[in-house]
Amino acid sequence: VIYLYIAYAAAVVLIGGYVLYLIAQVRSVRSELEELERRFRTR
Amino acid sequence: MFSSRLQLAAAGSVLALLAAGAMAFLYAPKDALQGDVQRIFYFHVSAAIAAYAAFAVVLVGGVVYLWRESAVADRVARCAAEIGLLMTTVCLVMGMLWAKPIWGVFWTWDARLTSTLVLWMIYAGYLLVRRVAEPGRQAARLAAVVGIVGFVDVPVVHFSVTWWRTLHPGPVLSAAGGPQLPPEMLYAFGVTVVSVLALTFVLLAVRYRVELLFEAAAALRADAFEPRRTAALVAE
Repeated sequence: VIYLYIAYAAAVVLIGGYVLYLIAQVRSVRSELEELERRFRTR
Repeated sequence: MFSSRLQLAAAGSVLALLAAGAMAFLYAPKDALQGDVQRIFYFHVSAAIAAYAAFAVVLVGGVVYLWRESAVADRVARCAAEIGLLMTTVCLVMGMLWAKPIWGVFWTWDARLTSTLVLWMIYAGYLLVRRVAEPGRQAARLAAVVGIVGFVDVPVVHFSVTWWRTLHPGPVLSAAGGPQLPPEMLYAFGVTVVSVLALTFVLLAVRYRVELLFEAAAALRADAFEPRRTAALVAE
């Protein structure tokens, strides 16, 4: 039974990890966009 | 940033996944031969189906890109390849953890396992091509060709259990004479497939929007550092 739980935990970690990666990507690109927009406004 | 429809779809897919988990663990009966570990089947096979679907999107995106040079098709294909690779990884890892208690080993060079590993490598190569090649038309064309040729492995993976009778079990759902599963297992499997496909669609939509944001940032960056070049391009 332990393999059943490890298998589902692995699936959660893989998909959850990918979701966290997407969140990090969104945060990174949003801060970059804000920085670029600020630079444009002050130019 | 994300539309309310997408947020609703994301919430719906999470609820569907929870329902699928409950059905796989609580509703579906225990397998008489394998015991509880057989419950890995529900998400293992669903992840494989979701990967097939994502790679079919890569195929269609590649064909449309080569035909019309559509940036949207190329973007969709790129995002779908990433999601397909994720689902193939989930399928492989769950399969290995199912193999250990049943076959006694995590991995064996069986036809289904080997062809699935090759599939994983093809789409990892697809993403590598996108990263290594010069961005723009060249990378998109190369990736489209890899995505189209790589899809040849999908039917090989699917029919490998019929063409070569090795260790992996043969078809259970598409077996001659109908699905070889009791109705409760079949319902649980149906709910799992739908929920994993919904999750795949939501991930693809989110990944597509992230890609759009990256492209917007790249365009702004190019303008911030080379305003004269951008102005010249606009004047053209």
